[in-house]
Amino acid sequence: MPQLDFSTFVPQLFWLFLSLSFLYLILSRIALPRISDVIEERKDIIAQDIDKAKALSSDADQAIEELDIKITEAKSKSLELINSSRKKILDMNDREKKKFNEEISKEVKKAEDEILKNKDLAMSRISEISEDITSEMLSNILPGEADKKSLEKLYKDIN
Amino acid sequence: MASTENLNDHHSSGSFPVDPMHQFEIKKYIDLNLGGIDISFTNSSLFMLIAVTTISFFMIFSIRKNSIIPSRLQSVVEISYEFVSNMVRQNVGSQGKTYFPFIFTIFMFVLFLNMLGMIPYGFTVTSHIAVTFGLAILIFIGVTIIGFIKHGMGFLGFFVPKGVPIFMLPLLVVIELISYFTRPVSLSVRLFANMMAGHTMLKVFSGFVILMGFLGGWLPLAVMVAFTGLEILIAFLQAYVFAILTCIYLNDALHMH
Repeated sequence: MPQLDFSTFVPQLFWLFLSLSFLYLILSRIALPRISDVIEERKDIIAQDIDKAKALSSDADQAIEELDIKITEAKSKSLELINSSRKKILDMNDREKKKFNEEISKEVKKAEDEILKNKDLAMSRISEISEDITSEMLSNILPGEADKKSLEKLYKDIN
Repeated sequence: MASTENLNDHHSSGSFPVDPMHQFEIKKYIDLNLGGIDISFTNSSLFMLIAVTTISFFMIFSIRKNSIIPSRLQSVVEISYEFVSNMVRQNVGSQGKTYFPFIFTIFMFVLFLNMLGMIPYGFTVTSHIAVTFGLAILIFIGVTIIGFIKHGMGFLGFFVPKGVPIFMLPLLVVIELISYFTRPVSLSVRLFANMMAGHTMLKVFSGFVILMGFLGGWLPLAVMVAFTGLEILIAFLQAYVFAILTCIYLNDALHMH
């Protein structure tokens, strides 16, 4: 077994400790600090990114909340607006209706007055007209001129 | 192990076409001497250097862009970082952060040495008890020193179980001490035996492929393919086990149960 050749032990051990200490120096002084720096840096960046994302998401949440508030505000405002304008319109309608009704009743009254006036006029003239008609009829029926004065007298008697 | 020795016997008798242990041989490339100590550059040293270079390039240049959205290679690096970092956090706790670079180094080093061994013509550095025991004893000594630094002499209390009758204590302290001191042995033998056994098995099956020829060789070849997949899993798993046991020993030293 070559492993038990003791003459090779010393050079093997010498080179073992030489290469091991060399490797240890390289790794502990150069390689490992660099790797841990890179890993730390990455961890920091990831943590920063996560923080940023959290902040952004809370901002977004806040914006959504604000939006909700604004929407409800706008809804109530528009409802109010609708109600008030409806009321205004209804009021105006009522007023117009009233005015119109008043006008109409005025007109009707005027017309009625006129009718009554005409009726009165007609009634006041009815005797005159009937006189006329009677004299006309009489003159047609009776030859010879009927006396207008006697007729008037007759008429008054009848009445 | 018994079977491999049998196969070695087969080989020595000339009937088996490949030597399964040949792959573990240490080849000297450059003879080096430092004050009487042999520090020759071998194939083992070469693969350690390859592992160190690969890991360094992999870890440094895949992350060079410092990008927030990682490239594929950077993701792999980050995943391995997180993997070991989680392992340390779960097994050692927040105090383990200081030792994370060391455990990461151990994990990557063992993982790459295991994986490099899976490449054809590669050499498996971790299939040598010298290397795995060297690693284990380093961890053992380091962890023990950490224990004494953290708790002073109170760390010796680690070997005294609580709530045990006095007359039982001497026996239990001895058992605790033995179990503590066998830690580097079990840690190193686990890795070494797993790597060596797997590679030996692969070599044995490749020997069967040659032995059974074009007609019969397909079955051991299929087994080899399946076994290669399993070996890759084991290569990862053993690196993981090595690292997690390091974490557990460290946790014992820091928190004393």
